[in-house]
Amino acid sequence: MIRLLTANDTLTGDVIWWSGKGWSLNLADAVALGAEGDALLAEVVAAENVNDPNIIEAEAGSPPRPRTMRERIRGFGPTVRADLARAAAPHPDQTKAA
Amino acid sequence: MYRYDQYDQALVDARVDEFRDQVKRRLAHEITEDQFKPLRLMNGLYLQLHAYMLRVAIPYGTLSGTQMRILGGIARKYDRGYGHFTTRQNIQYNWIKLEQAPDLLAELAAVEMHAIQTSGNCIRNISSDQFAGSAADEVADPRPYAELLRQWSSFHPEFSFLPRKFKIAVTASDHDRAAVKLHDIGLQLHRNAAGELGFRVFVGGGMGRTPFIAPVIREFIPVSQYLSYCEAILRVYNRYGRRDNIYKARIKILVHEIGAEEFTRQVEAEWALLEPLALDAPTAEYERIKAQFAPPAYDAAAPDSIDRSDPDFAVWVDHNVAAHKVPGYAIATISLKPVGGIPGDASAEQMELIADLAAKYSFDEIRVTHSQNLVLADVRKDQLHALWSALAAADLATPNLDLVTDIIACPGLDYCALANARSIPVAQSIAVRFANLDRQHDIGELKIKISGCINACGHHHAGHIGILGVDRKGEESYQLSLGGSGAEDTSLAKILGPGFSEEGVVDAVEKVIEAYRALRLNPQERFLDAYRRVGAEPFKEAVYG
Ligand code: HEM
Ligand code: SF4
Repeated sequence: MIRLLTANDTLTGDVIWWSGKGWSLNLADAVALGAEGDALLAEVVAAENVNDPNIIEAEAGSPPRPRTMRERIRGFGPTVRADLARAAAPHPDQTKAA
Repeated sequence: MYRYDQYDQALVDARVDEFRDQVKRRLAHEITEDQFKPLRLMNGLYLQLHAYMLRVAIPYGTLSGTQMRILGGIARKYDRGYGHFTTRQNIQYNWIKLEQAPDLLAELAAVEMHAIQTSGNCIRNISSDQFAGSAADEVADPRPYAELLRQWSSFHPEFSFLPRKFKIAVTASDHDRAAVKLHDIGLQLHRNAAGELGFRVFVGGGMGRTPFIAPVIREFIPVSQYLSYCEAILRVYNRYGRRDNIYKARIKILVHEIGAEEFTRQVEAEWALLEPLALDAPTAEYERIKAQFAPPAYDAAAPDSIDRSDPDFAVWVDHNVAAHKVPGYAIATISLKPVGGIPGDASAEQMELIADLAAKYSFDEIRVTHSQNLVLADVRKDQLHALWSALAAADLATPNLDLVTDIIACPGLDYCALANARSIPVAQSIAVRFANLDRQHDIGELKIKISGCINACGHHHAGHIGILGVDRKGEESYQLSLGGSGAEDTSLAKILGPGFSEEGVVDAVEKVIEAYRALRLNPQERFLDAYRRVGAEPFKEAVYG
C-alpha cells in the first residue's frame, strides 16, 4: 500500500490529489508519500487553503487504486453515472446500469 | 399558492447579499474554513464527496411551474444537468462550485426560493401531504398552516440554535402521506365533536440511529392556538434537550427519557405562560394566508370520467392517479423511478418539461413527495391522457407508484460523505430484478426504502422492506429489516438477521417476496399485512434456510 494526500478544492469543491508539485484533479497524478507525509498534511491543514485534507491508502498503479470504496468513488466519480467519471481510467466499481 | 410579500422577499434578498460577502471574504482568505463552514451550512451548502452539495428548501413540497423551470435551469447552468429530489421534499444539487453559489442563490431568490435552514440545529423545511388542497380525504387544506409555521420558524431567534435539528410535518387526512409520527412534531388537522378545526399533536418521532414513533401529547389544539403551542414545545425542548450528547440531542430522546406524560405536563405548563401573551397570528393574518391557497378555477363542467381505451394509459391511471375532491379532476403522480434509474433524480430537461406540463394541465403547480416522486395535483380527467403521453415520451410515466420498484434511496456512498455503503445501485438492482410489470402488479403495494448509513435519510426504518448499508470490515454490507411503515399504521421495521453483500441483499429481497406470495391469504393481502399476521419466522426461514 502507498499513501496519498487528498482534499477538496475550496473554490470548486473538486476532489484533488497531491502531485508532489501541487494539487491535481487527476488521481493518476497523485504521488506516493514518503516519510514527509504527515508533516506535509499538518502544513496543509494549518494553511486552510483546501478543504478536508486527508491521507488515504491505495495500491500503487497508474492510476493508483484507493483501498476503500469511499476513496475510489472520490477518485473516479459516482459508480452510477458513467458519464460523470472523473479520471481518464475506467471506473473500477462502475455498475452495469451506469 | 403562497406568494412572498415584501418582508419575505427582503429577508431572502438580504441573505443572498450577506452570503455573497461571506464567500468573497473566504475566497480572499480573510476568514478561515472553520469560521466559514457554519456560514455556508446556514445557506444549505455542504461539502460532499465530489463537490459542494446545495440543498434547496421546497416549503411543504409545493412549487410553481416557474420555480421548477428555474430549478431545471440551475441544474444545467451550475450543476451537471440534474438534481435529486429527497425524502424531505427538497432538492439537492451535487456538483456546486462555491464561487458560483451566491449567483445561484440570487436566481433562486428571484423566484421566491432559498436554502436557508436546510442545515443546522434549527427548524428545517416544513413538510406536508403532497396531495394537500386536492385530496378527497382531507378535512381542510393543511398548507396555510404549514405556511404560517414556515413564517414563524424562519429566523426565529430563540430557535436558531436548538440542541439538534427539528422537523415538523403537517397533514389533514386520516391516510397519512407525510409520515407525521416520524417527525419531531407531527400535526394532524381534524375536527372535534363540535366540528371545529384543530390539530392532533404528535411529538418525539424520528428515525436516525434511535427510531421512535411519536406519541400524541394533545388530542386537539384549536387552529387559532397551534403556533403558541408549538412555541411551548420548542421551549421545553430548547431548555431540556440533551446538548451534552449529539446522539441524544433530538427531542425524541427527551420525550422518551422523561416519558410522554411528563413531557406533556411541561409543555402544558409552558403554554399556560405563553398563551396569554397573544403570540398566535391574528385572524386577519390567517385569512390573508388562507386566501393565497384559494382553490384554482376548477371547471364545473369538466367531465367526470376517464376514457380507458388505451391499455397502457389505463394501467398508469390505476397506479399513479388518485381521487380528487372536485369531480372531473384527478391527482397524477409522476414517477421519478424508471426501472434501473436513480430514485429521485430528474434531469434539467425533465424538470423543464414538468414545469410546462404543470402550466398546461395543473394550474401551474407541482408537488414533491417524500417518496421522491412529483405530483400534478389538479388535472382534468379529460386531459389525463394527453398528460400521460407527454410524460411517457420523457420516461416519466412508469406506472409503479407504491410498487416494488418505487424505491426510496438516499444518495448513499455514491455522493454522501457520511455513507457506509451505496444505496442507489441496490435500488437499481432490485428494480431491474422486478422490472416485469405484471410481476410488480401481482406483488402489489410494497415499499422498499434504502439508507446508506444509520442516519436513515432513506427511511429504512419505515420500509415494508428496509435496507441499511453498513460497513463490515471495510466492505459494503446490507442489513435487511421487515415490517416498517410511515403511513397512518406507522411501525418500525425489525432486522431479519445477518447482513448481505449487494448481490446477496437483492436475492434476499426476492426470497422474502416469494415467501410472501406463497403465504398471503389472497392477492389483496398486502406484504405488510401478511408480515404482521405471520411474523418474521417464515421470512427468516426463506432467506436463511
Ligand atoms: C447528503 C447529505 C446529507 C447529510 C450530511 C445528511 C445528514 C443527516 C444526519 C446526520 C441525519 C441524522 C440526524 C439525527 O438522527 O439526529 C439525517 C437524517 C435524515 N435525513 Fe439526511 N443527510 C443528507 C442527505 C439527505 C437526503 C438526500 C435526504 C432525503 C433523501 C435526507 C433526509 C433525511 C431524513 C428523512 C432523516 C431522518 C429523519 C430524522 O430523524 O431526522 N437527508 N441526515
Ligand atoms: S442515510 Fe447516511 S448515507 Fe444516506 S444520505 Fe443520509 S447520511 Fe448520507
